[in-house]
Amino acid sequence: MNEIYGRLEEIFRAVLLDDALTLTPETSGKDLDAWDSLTHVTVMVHAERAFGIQFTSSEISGWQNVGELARLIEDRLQQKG
Amino acid sequence: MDQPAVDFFKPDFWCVLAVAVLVLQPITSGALRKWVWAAVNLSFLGLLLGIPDFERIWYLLQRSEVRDAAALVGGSLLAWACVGVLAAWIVLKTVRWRRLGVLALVLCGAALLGLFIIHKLTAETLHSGDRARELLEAIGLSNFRAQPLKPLLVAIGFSYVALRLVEALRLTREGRHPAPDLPSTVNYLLPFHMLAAGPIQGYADFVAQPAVPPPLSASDALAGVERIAHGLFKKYVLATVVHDDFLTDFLAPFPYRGFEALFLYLWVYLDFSGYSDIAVGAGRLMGVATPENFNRPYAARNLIDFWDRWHMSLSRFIYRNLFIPVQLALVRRSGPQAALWCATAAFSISFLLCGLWHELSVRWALWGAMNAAGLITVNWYRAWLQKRLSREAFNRYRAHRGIRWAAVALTQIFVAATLLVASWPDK
Repeated sequence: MNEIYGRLEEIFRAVLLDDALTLTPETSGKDLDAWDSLTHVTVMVHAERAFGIQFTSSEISGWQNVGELARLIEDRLQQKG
Repeated sequence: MDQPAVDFFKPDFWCVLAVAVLVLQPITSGALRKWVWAAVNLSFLGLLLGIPDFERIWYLLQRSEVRDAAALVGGSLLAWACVGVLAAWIVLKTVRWRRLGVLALVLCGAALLGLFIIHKLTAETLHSGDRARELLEAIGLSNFRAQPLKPLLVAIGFSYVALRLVEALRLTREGRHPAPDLPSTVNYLLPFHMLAAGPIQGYADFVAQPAVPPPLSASDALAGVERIAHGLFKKYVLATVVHDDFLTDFLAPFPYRGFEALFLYLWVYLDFSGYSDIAVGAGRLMGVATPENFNRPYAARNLIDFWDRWHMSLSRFIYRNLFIPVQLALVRRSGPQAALWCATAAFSISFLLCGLWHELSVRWALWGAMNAAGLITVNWYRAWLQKRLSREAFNRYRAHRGIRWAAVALTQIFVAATLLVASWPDK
């Protein structure tokens, strides 16, 4: 799980252009100044490429904070085997 | 411009609300509550559609317009609505079985599209009958009598029912949620307090709500009643004052028309948000999750911010079901570096369709195009600023009070201009 958080943090920093950004499981879009619908989808596509998985469009909008996103990625990785 | 068509001066809505609050409160079984809530919703539909306008029917019969008269009979309309719900339930149940599901989806999609075109073309007929009739003739429907369907489609808030059905179909098809049972189909598609003009509840939110909500506390009851009173005051006092004293249907001399567009925006906000307040308050009293629809849209500093605050349940529906799928498909194909261009395409498609969802007409297509152009401009401008300014300078820019006031004013004027285009009278 820590590895997922680490990689997500790299993705968020690159997309939001903020090298000092730190993620916690509770971090949500409301906590991030530059967060919007555009960056949301961009982060998800980066995550798909980084973890070699694919989300459905309802999964893209279905998470409320980073902890839920990390669990979603973990589930997908387990399904992938 | 079409506004919510519920007549809150009639006792129907309030009687059904009172019965629903009294009947639903003591129920502690989730299964029973589901059936009772479905019965309440169908009863309201029955009240809404089941009382025929005998005078009108007699008039039509005297003119031998039997088919129009029959369509006005409430019983037959209610029967059609029930058949519609039953059909929707069958489609939702079969949608995950491969062959039958595809067939059901195609049939349901064709029926939805057909009804939608009828509904929106007849809406256009109200504005300019000749042009709509010409259009019907052009597509080979010159003898088609769509008008009798109009009362049913308006009364059941068909535009909203159709969107709920689209979302339920998509999530069921994706396997995110199991297909609903019959009472849940009724309760999701036809909640009586959200019937005429939303809000559009997300299917995931509908599924996630508890089968039996916590008991209604005194403070919850007061908050619900207060919200309804707030909505009624907005809709029947403030909106009426604005409508009667400041709107002229753009017949006033030219210099006033610019201000009139702003008053039109204010009137739409007061009337529509007032209706939404009543729906949210009623939902709170009954323990039925009802999404918020407005969050101070007059404070929006740009058009992206505006659509996060205005008719939020519709904008979130568009985001979930149009914007994300389109942008995702494009970004996957062209890579994250092209995200800005992909968003440009996604905004254009989403808002053009959103405009046509309001009405199949040039004016609403223009409204959609103006909104898409505004959103795209905001997006590119923000990307340009972020590229040009350091992070600290960008944050200072956003926090600057003068810039904020100017941005809010510009946004509100632009929104008023889009409504002006959508509402401009024909004559």
